[in-house]
Amino acid sequence: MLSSLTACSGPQSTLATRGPRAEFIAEIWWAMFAGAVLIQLLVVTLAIHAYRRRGPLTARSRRALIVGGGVLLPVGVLTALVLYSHYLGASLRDPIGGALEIEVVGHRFWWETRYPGGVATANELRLPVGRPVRLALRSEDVIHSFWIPSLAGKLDLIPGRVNRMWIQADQAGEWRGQCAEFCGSLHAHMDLRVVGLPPDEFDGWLARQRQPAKAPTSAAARRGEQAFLDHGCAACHGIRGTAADGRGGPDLTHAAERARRDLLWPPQRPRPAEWIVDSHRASPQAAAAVATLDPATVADLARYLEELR
Amino acid sequence: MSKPTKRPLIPLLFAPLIWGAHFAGAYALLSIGCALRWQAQQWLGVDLIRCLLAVLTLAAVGILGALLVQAWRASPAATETDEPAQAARFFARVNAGLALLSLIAVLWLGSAIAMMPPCI
Amino acid sequence: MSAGAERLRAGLDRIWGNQPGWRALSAVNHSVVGRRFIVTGMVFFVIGGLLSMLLRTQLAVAGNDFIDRDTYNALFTLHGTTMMFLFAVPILEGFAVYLIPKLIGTRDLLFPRLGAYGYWCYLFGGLLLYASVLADAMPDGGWFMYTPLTGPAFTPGKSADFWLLGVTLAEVSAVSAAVELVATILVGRAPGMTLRRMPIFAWYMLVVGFMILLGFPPLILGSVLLELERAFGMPFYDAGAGGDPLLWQHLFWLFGHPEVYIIFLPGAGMLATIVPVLVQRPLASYTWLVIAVTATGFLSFGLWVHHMYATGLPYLALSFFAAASMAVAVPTGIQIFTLIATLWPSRPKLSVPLLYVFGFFFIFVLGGLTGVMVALVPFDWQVHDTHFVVAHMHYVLIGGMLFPLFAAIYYWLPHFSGRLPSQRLGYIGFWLLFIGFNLTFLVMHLTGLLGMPRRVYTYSANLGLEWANLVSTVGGFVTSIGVAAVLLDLLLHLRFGQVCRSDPWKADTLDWAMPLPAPVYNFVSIPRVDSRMPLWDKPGLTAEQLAGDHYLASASRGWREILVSDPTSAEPTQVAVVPGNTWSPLLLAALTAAIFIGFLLSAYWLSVLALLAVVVVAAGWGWRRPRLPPLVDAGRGLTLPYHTHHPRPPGWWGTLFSLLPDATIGLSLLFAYFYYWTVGPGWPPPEPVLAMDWRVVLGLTALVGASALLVAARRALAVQRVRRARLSLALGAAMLVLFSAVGLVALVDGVAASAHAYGALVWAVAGWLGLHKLGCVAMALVALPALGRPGDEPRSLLGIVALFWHYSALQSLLLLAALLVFPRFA
Repeated sequence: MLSSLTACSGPQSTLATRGPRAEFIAEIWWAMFAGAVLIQLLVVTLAIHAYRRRGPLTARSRRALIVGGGVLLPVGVLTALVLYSHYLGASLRDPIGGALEIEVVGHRFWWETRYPGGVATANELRLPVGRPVRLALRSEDVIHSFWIPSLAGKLDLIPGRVNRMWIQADQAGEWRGQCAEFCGSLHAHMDLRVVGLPPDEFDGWLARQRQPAKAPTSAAARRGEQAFLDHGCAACHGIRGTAADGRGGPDLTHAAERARRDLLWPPQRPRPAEWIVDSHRASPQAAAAVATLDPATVADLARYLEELR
Repeated sequence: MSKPTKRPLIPLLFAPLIWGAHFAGAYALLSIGCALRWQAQQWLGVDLIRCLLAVLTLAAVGILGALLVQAWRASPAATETDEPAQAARFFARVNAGLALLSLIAVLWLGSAIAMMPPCI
Repeated sequence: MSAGAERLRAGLDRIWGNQPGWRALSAVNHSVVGRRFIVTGMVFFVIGGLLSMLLRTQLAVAGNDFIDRDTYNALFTLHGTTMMFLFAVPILEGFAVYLIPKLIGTRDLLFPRLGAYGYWCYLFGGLLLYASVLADAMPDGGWFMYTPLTGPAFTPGKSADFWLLGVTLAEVSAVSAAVELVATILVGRAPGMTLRRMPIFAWYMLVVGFMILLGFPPLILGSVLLELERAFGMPFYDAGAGGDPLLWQHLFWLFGHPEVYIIFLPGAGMLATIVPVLVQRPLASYTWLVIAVTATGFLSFGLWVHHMYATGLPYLALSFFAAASMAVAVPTGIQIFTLIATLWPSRPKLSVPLLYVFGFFFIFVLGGLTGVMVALVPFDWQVHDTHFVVAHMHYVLIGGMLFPLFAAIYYWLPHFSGRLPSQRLGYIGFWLLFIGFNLTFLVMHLTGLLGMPRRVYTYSANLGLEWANLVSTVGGFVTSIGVAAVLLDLLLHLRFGQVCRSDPWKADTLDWAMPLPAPVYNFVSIPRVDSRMPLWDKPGLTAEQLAGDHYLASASRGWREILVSDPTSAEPTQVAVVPGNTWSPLLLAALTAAIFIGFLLSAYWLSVLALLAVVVVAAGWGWRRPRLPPLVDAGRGLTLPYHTHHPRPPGWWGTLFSLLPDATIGLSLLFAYFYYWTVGPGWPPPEPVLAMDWRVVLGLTALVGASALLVAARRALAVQRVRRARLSLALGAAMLVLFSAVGLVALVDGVAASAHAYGALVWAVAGWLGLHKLGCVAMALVALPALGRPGDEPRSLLGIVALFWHYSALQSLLLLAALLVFPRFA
């Protein structure tokens, strides 16, 4: 039960808001919750009271109960709610001018995030605190849904169209988002790490990301770099500053800076070598690609990736 | 008092059908208007799409209001107790109730038109 | 009991009885068909429930490995599909099929063969869906199967096809039952049962029937289009080829939203029937309920996009649906308060049905309140596709359908079995169910708010979701025990229940005006009613009808006879002879299933052959019309024509209402066309522009000519010129063949079906129109020989043909105008 006290402030909770849009919605929720509790109590009390009371009720008072409870009460409450709903959404959909624009592309089963300046990362979204960000959402395969509960409601990524929403983090920290439209086998694992950074830290991070990949220093890493190109990894994965320019899989230019996403359950905190093989279980082609690698090669690749800071 | 109709189920449909026509017409108008970029044009200071939607809504409200009044007036006096009078009263009340609920639904939709821009 | 009444009863038993042993499968009367639906529905309910327990066990702790993820995805798909398509709608239909004739005072529904056909389609559809388990190809796209996930690219193999074909078969079942119910409620009522005197459940099922006729076809079309995409590559939902994945969502939810009201309303109608009896007082306001149920029926068609709030549609559009979603809460509230006002005040015995009524109040109202919450667009953006919505929908479905269903089962049980169930087991079952249900789903609202999406086989341990999921799982087990207690009660009462030979509830409606268990033919004689509560206002009515004092008190003619009356005045206008035991519905359903199985096996020749066979067998139903004398003594001094000699026979009404689902498919095709136009760039594509050449002109002329020739045939018949009528009709049919062979072929000439959604849609429209013309020609061939029969029969037959032909011509012109004329203006 203790976890319930902390749950409300969990990393994926709609009630622990870290941004203005989610905050707005949480306030609405509490107001509606209070209203709903009252109405539920009213109706249930009336029903039980109906059962218990003796004595006749005239036809007129019966009709008054129907009109009062069935027409006047809903019309009154709902007129207010309808007007409020109209008013709210218009303001929540207002396009924000001059916002930072980030493109989010949904794949089975990973998130591609692209920032201005040709920066591409995966499964992670970094946001500057206090600044509105405009997201352009699209999908390369099936319908996914982009959802960071602490920051805002969700919006689908639909093949063939681009959906746009704005989002803003009001505090620094780390939270979680998750794909919210069933997209297949690994849907439950399509989560997103969200990091809020103070603006100057964010700008610094973005500037570093814009740099091309560092050349490998250790011997193992250099072997890994060669293996990367020899075994066709470059067909899917891009590493800016090298010959690898694939787009089908996550960009690995600064991969070592990102937290590794766990596809296994319970979290195994696998060593990098194991993680490389596991993370390719998402699709038959990816799995086939790594199936032919021998452990030594995988170890070299892992070393190479670790140096991509 | 109007004499009872031979096929009272059909007038029963009028009010809900007006609501339905308004609803479908509004959604179609909005979809087509946005596809043809009518929101760029203006009439009386408001974009064309919302103007047309407003006209559609006012028409629906007018018709439903008239149906409501007509249904209310069509109810025979309570003193008449034969079967045709009872039937006429029943259908008059049902028509009035349906007109009222349809009117509320149209107004709730119509209020949206006044409160936000189209196509975004 | 007089000897005459005894003989009468024995005679009716003989005429209406089923054949013995396994031959009882040929029975078509409504009581048997209704019971089949109910029992089969309960079996699927138990299966669906077992599936849900597997799901809950997997979710009890984070990172559980009780079920692997792919199996889990298939299980939740099957759970939802089973509950929505194979349990909820069929079992409620079963109750309606069983109860309506008894409530409105007739012996059977108007089209027994259609009802039996519907049952077999439902059974075959369910078996087809579960055959996927045996074929190791369980559908796993969720119960609403969004594209492009379920398209050919991402679901290769047959799993999605099992879903599409099985579910479509089940939907055909629903539509056939709806045609029957609507027609019977309108023209099958007992003499004197005017619209304002008919039982409230009849109003509910009239509205629900129309909702099914209009609400199911969009999904039937959508499913057929998806199957065509999967089988032939016709890219209706493929964004890369001019299609749109959102079209599936529109078509699905155009069905899906009315579907949940189709599920809720019959339950509410049953409560509206039961509550007055339990408190021995009439409904607080019959009029308000009629207003509410009609309003709900219409408004429910304006809600569908509220399932799509997160798809990025413009906010003003979403607001239309938010407004309608809130609007539908008003008539729902009216129904709740009418029931409360009826209960108030009283102190009825706390019987088991009444317990379920109170359970309904608590659970359904809570579900309705969360429904209003999610109608609010910004809030839905947070909780859409989370366990909050799962909680909401279970509250409204279980509160609004299951609890009323159990109330109805307990209330009407003596009707089926002639025995009473156990009070104690009933109480235990209710409380376990009520407590278990709330334990399972109340906390799920919180789980959703804490960030748990739907359709996940597991969840992260650091989201704080574990305790809530564990509580839900425990609640699930409690609920299961409750269900088991109820089922045990139902099974045991068949053997140990106290015998009950007549109405135990002192009810007011005609369904209790008969001995129990109910005889197959319901009424020894069809009673005349003159009030809304016939048994309360005329307590002697039961004895009167049993003694044969009323209409159709005759077994001497050897046919199954029912009265058909004017829809408004309920005065009898004809006596209809309805079919008895026959194997043709089973055969027809098997052939229909064969059409679908052909697609499943990619053996399209099988589908074509089966389709032709279906047309032949269905035409046979029209062909084998009984030879009846023109007039009959209906009792109490009334002489009426037999239905074959009446200008508006039941077949005319059945055809009329069948036009509704047909027109809805046509309109859905039209919707798809204009939807693509508003959504996609480059629609219609520059190539091809459909030709308006001489072949199309010839085809259109032939189409109009056919209708004109039919009018000429009817005119000729009116002046007894049979040969001329036959010639005109035959020529008209030939014109339709010409239209199809020349006009429709010209339409698709040079149009690729699988390159672009536009071409695919043109082919779909051509196929749809071609199917229609096949039906038209078949009807004409059936009518031709019968034109020479004596009496009014030929005219009545031709009237039915005309109804369908002219309607089909209109629809053809409308669709062709969209395809041929519109692009020249766009």
